Amino acid sequence: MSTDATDGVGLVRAAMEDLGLTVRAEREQALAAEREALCQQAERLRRHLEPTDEPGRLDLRPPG
Amino acid sequence: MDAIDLCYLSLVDVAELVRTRQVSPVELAQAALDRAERLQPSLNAFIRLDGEGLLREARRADGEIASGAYRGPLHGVPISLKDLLAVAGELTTAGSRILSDARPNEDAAAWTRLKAAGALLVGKTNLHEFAFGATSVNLHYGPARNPWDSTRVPGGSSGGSAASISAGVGYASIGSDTGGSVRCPAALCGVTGLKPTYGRVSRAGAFPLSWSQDHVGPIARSAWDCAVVLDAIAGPDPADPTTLGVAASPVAGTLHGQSHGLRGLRLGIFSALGDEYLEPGVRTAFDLAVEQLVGLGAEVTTIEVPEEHDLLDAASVILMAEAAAIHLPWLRTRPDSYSDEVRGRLEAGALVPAVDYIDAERARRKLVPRVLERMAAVDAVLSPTVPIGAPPIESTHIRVGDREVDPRGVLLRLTRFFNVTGQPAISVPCGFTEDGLPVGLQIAAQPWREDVILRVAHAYQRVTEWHKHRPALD
Repeated sequence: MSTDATDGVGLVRAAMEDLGLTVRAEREQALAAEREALCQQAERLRRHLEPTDEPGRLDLRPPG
Repeated sequence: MDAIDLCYLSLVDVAELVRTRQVSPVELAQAALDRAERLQPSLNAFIRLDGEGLLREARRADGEIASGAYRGPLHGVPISLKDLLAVAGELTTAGSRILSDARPNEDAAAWTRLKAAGALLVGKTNLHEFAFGATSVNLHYGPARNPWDSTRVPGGSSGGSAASISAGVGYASIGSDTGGSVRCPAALCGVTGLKPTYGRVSRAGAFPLSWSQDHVGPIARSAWDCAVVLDAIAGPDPADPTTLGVAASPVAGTLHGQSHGLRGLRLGIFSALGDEYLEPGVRTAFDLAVEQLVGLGAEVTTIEVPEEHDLLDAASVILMAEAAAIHLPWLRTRPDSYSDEVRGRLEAGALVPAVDYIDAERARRKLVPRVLERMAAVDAVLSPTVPIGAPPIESTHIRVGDREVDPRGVLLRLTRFFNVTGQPAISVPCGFTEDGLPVGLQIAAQPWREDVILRVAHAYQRVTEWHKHRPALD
């Protein structure tokens, strides 16, 4: 990452710059909070996962 | 019959009048166009009306039907499309400034099939910018408004579609639903909205929000009308591989002459959904609807789904990451062309780590089969569609009981679940709040069992009148 990413806002700023996105100073705090919330959601999901669980596109079609 | 009554007929009824040549497609088209133009200043339901094209095609349909080449129940019937469904050579904005000049080369698959069935296009309906929101408060084209109270939102993101059907403009509208965007506006506008099974209807030509949760489906005045439209747009399409391998199974014909009762059918109240943030008037209407279903002979129990919150977590992570991936090029080059609201959501999605997205997909793949197995204990599950009545436009706080809530965070709370599982779900009107705002009943079933939810919805609408109420626009 191109800048110091030691806290949430720093991480957001660095990630935005790496993605080539314009950083709006007034949005950094909110973005850091939203990113943290999404990361917590993903973290909660990990308790269900075993190493053999694979990702895959939702496919509800019957076999065959 | 006066022009307003004509506009408010069900699709099934108007199709019969067209078939028997008691009314002509030109009469229908002119009535729909007049009404759309008259109500556009107050409802802003459309981004674009195409009167010239509508009347031209109506005359063509007239001639075909007169010559005996009747194609079926959509022939000569005016409908509309959410303005993220492509019409070749015509503006298709997705409610955005970025695509304000976009003219796709090909029709969306749903429109291709509707055209082949003889449907007429009234226009393209207003929506939340890029379908990324539930209010249809659109910065670029102005807010779509709720026909029951024009100071309130129609819901979203297919808000213009639901508002137009509620207002008596056209006999069906095609929307898209990634977190409830067909069902939520249908509920808030007092009409019927169907989200089919993921893979039932091709998404080709529908501008995406989240590839793995997007669904295309109809909004109309009744479940039977939705079934007629579903039959026309469903089925395999090589342009959308998720539709391949499952044969179309027409359902509208099964509703005709169906027994009124639901004896032998097991319905489960989805207990995990709905207790929080549920407005008292919504609860009352829902409870009454359940009693009516019991009265029809259904056996009603409650169903526990402990995976609910986890799957909603997965839905959020997947939606945000997929939407950001779709929009990243424009976020880089044209960030100021987005509303602050949508830009902020997309930026947040761009920050989702790859491993989080992958783990959300892994969890989804693992948990969905468990949920479907639990739900196999019943034939269909029930919940309110939206926990509240339509909130005021631009409101950021409303009171529900003793809580202050942001309505934007509540509107899709009860619908998102069925996007991440891909199950079919329908919303039918089931009453009104104390403020006189429509309430929806949501019915969902196992994948590919649209026949079950339509059977329940149709039986319910045979013994209730909620779907026949009209807002005071005239």
